[in-house]
Amino acid sequence: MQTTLLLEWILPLVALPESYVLSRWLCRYLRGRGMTVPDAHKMGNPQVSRPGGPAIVISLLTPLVILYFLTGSIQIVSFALSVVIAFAVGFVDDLRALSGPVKVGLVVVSALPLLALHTYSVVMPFPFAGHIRLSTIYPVLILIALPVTANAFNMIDVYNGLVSGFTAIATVPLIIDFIFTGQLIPSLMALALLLATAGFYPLHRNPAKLFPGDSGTLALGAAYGAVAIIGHAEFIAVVALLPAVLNSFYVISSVGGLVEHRKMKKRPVVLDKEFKLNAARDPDAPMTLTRMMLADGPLTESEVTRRILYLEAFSASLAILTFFLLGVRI
Amino acid sequence: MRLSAFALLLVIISMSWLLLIFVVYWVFVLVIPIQPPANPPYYIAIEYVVFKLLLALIAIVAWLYSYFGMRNAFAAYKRLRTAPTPSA
Repeated sequence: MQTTLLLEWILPLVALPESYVLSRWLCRYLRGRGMTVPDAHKMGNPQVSRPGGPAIVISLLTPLVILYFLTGSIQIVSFALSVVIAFAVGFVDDLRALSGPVKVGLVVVSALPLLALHTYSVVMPFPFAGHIRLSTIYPVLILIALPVTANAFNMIDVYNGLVSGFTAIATVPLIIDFIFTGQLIPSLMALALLLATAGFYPLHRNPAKLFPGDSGTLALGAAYGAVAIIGHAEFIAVVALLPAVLNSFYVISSVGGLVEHRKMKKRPVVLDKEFKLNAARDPDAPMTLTRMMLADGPLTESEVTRRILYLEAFSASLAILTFFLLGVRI
Repeated sequence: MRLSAFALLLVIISMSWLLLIFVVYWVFVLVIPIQPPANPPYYIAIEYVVFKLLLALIAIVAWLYSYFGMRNAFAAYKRLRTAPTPSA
């Protein structure tokens, strides 16, 4: 019994070295096949391998597949299916760009395994309000939630190391929630997610050698949303993702809908001669988190990434505080 | 002393968090439990449902507008030029 439990906790740890080794191999493989894209924020626009999504998804799912054979948990099946569907949509988008609405529409499908296998609870805990039953509306919320998280992660994937660092930090409050509430399988899934992104980070951080691509970002977003739903930590997840939620809200409201960032007519940020990022002065440029961050003056890409990760760490702290407020009722 | 953009973003995130908790509390604790008197005529029961929906809708719309409000306040404070938005 003890040995099995120890093995279950050791399994997700495999995701870290696996992700690192796979990412390094994939980076060389993609470069060899000419599957690279220019890094627009660097002098000379160096070519960077893309997509790194397969390395993230394989390293995330390998320990979970073994875990499934050990535990037979249906939660792992629904989580894995959601991730694979979002990954597939992103992979198609990496190969031939899909329009924003089509991509969102297809990502809705990734929510279906959660509904079909019923790996959710309609009773949600809220701070100061206790546990609230959302019987009718909850399945609809799931259909909305996964595309929202997937696209929120996709929209913040604009700088080297940002989406991988962001995911790793945002997952910490979920792991704390699952451990404190005694949910073993969601704890292990969230730990595997954290370690798979942490293993990818060294190749993604500035100067990036490998970009996750939409296959990576959509899979990460779907994985995050799915594990939050399976582990009943939806409210904690919303708080932990506040910087990404604000960014998505401001972008969508600025451009008036779901528009691929590659197809935005006005850029929110412009590069100067020293390759520092500046907030666009054009009033019609989209309002993004980065544009707001640059309101005081130009910053390097690394400085912007670091500050957004600090914001995320602050949100993650609020999410942990929120978890402890869940037991409080007024 | 003027606050830096980073400090203002920390304030915006804190405000968003507080507003989110307040809206949830408003909708689930204050509005949804409102009940009509026992055995009301159907039109009174309908009025209660409409009243509760309105109260919840007001909170949710105000919450969404607060995001525009915070963004516009940020842009005005930092003199960042933005296109007019609903709450500008």
